Amino acid sequence: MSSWFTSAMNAISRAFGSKDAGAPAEKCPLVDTGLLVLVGREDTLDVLKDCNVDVKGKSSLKKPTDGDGIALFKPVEPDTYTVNATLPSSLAQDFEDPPTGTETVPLGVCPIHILLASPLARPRIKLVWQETGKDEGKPFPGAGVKLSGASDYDYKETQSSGLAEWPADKRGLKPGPYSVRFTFKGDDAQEHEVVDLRSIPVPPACKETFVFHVSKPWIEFVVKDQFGDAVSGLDFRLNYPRDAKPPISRALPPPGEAVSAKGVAGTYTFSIKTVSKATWGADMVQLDQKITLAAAATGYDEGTKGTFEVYGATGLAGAALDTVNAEVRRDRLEAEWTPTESKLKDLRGGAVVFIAKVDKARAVSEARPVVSKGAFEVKQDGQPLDTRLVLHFAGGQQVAAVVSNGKAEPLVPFGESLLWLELPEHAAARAGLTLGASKQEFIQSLKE
Amino acid sequence: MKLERDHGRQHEGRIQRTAVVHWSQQRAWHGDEVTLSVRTELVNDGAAAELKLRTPATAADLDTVSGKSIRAGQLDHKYKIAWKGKPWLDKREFVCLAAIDTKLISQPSPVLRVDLEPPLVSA
Repeated sequence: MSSWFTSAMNAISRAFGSKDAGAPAEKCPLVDTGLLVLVGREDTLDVLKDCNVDVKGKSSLKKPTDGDGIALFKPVEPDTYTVNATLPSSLAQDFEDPPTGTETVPLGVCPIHILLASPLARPRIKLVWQETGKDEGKPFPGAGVKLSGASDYDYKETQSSGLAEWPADKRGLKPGPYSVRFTFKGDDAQEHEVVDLRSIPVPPACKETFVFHVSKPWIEFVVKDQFGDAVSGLDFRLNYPRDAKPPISRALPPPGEAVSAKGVAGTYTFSIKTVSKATWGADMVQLDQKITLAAAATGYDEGTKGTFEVYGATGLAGAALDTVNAEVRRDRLEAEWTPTESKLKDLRGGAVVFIAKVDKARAVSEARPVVSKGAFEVKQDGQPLDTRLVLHFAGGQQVAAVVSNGKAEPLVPFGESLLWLELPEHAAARAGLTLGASKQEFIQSLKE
Repeated sequence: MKLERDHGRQHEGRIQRTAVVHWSQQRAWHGDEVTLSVRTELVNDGAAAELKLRTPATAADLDTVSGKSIRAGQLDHKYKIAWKGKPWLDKREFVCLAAIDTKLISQPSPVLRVDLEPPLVSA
């Protein structure tokens, strides 16, 4: 700046002249009243000649800048002047006219007003493929490019090089931040996505190339088991975001290959057609009492039919004791089952499991004991007793019960033979039962 | 298994393979033939299955059945209790575990009580 200013001051000295005409008897202050306008480049501060400078106030004057970029207006009447400069046509393509200024010119003073012209920009936009592998960095031609900011500009299309160039014969772009918009042609136009879309800062005199990357949205899924081994053969369903395309429904590919989809940006839903987490609604199954059978069932349409097959825990190799139909609702298969004596007539071992099935998928529940309500009466000398009772069954189970007013109704293992009863508070009354002994026989034996 | 994921990358889902084993009865005599039923979830057809019989208290196998495979998610194997010379260690309660493709090991089955001596009968 200082060397520029020195040059300017030297130029001013030359403009004013340095001849010694002798001291005047009385100097008119108007003689020294003037306005010096200097026009230069904003970026390099080089002077600009042949710019038409226009000052308006009490005096209205125009003149071009000289080789030093100076337009001297002297004398002018003291006033506040607006100062304006228009660039010559040779510079108009590459520079923006300087902003209008104002300058106050007092009597006897010749202030200097500097106008700076901002060079216009000629940015280039380049679009390339983002995909890794052989297409990485490959130019993308035919995309429409538009800038929006201090002014708007339509580049039209990227060329075979992927570049959208600024035409040489077009006036440059005003510096500033600009948003960039791309448009694509063809049937798959909406499948393209510019992954690094952003505003670009365009400085004065910019000739930079701004690179953007385009990709077709893609997604992949792989499925592994709890050991980290790839899973294959199971049926899956892949739903596109916003149902933009029909879902994909087929078997998983062989290990080492992924399920893939392209062309739509957003959130995909991927589900394996599985049935899992088969659970009972209670810790034991009570005769003639409803119990819920449930399992998770993902990847199926709403309303897909499924079944619950109930087996004896020792009867899995045989026929099911009962089958309950159900439908998949909100990724769940659920039904209620009421075990009855007739349904469980072939049960051995006193425990049941169920298998939830939808198509080829199945899940196995844990085993649950089956119980029924027993009825016992305990009397002594014909009088009901309040006491405790312990029942011993052939399968090794023991059930404790409280006898109140001579009655007890404990839950006892279904289908198990009662071997013997224990009355802990009446040791002398302990009795053994043979297999198959009836309740009446037991009460009788207590009396004996 | 259900995943909701955004585009632009590869995502991994996990499934849980399971296996359970049940005896066909709770109690048996030595010499009886029982059925071991294996039921699996998400195991491919043809997966190799091995059945290991042991007492609950020890890790040593009393007997092993090899060379089996899973079909349609299940295996039912008839097994004759013939343990003369086997290390039954004076126990009477036994369980079975299924090993599927060597990695997936089931929980022990419910207990099978085996009477290994003839019953004592009074005069």
